[in-house]
Amino acid sequence: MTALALLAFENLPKILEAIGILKKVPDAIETVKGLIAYVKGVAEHLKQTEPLTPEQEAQLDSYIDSLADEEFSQPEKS
Amino acid sequence: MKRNKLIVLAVVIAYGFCFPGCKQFQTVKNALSYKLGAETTDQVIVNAEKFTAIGADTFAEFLKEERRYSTEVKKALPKVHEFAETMRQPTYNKDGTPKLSVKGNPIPRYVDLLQDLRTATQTFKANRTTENEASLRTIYATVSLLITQTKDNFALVQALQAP
Repeated sequence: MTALALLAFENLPKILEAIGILKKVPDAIETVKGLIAYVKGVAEHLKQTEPLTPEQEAQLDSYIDSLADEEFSQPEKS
Repeated sequence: MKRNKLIVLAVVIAYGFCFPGCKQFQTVKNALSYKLGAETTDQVIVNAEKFTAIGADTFAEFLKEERRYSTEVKKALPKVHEFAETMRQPTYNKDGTPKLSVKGNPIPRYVDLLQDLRTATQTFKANRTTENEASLRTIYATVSLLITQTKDNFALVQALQAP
């Protein structure tokens, strides 16, 4: 038991580093998901050949308006 | 951050190999360097609408990532952080009151600019005069420039995560 505790203590920096990496994984996954969705979205927009219909315009307006309510759109709190 | 970048690169490369639609990356690159030229009025509207949507996606994606890695960005790329914060600054009505969303949040500059582009597009769509086209082209040019700047800053945020 003591040996195990010593081993854990000696490897504490490595263990902490591993935990840090584990915490970063969800962020990395979100980044990848975001990039893929972004590229797909832009490719989809580029297919447009006719002016938007009123329904599509309403969708676009609603999307733009919703960006104002996103946390990442608000300035950093000082 | 280094490991994050490796994961991002692996997935992006896999995505490029696995799907025939990998040309989308080139298409995106071409699209972002596109400029409004001598088109028919319908084409002017289509291009303005396309770029409103692309601008919205680009700005949102950049600001999302900048906020996600804000500690690292602030430390290593203070100018990029400053650029992002400028985009987030609130806007005001002529009487000095802040512009607010339906939910009561301040409308940031980049959203206000996109809304201006939408208004100019709708005005030109309803009344295709030379004057309205000129207004649309002016706002379009501003959005186009902001897309280019955002793309450059986004690349720096991505590079920050590189090994």
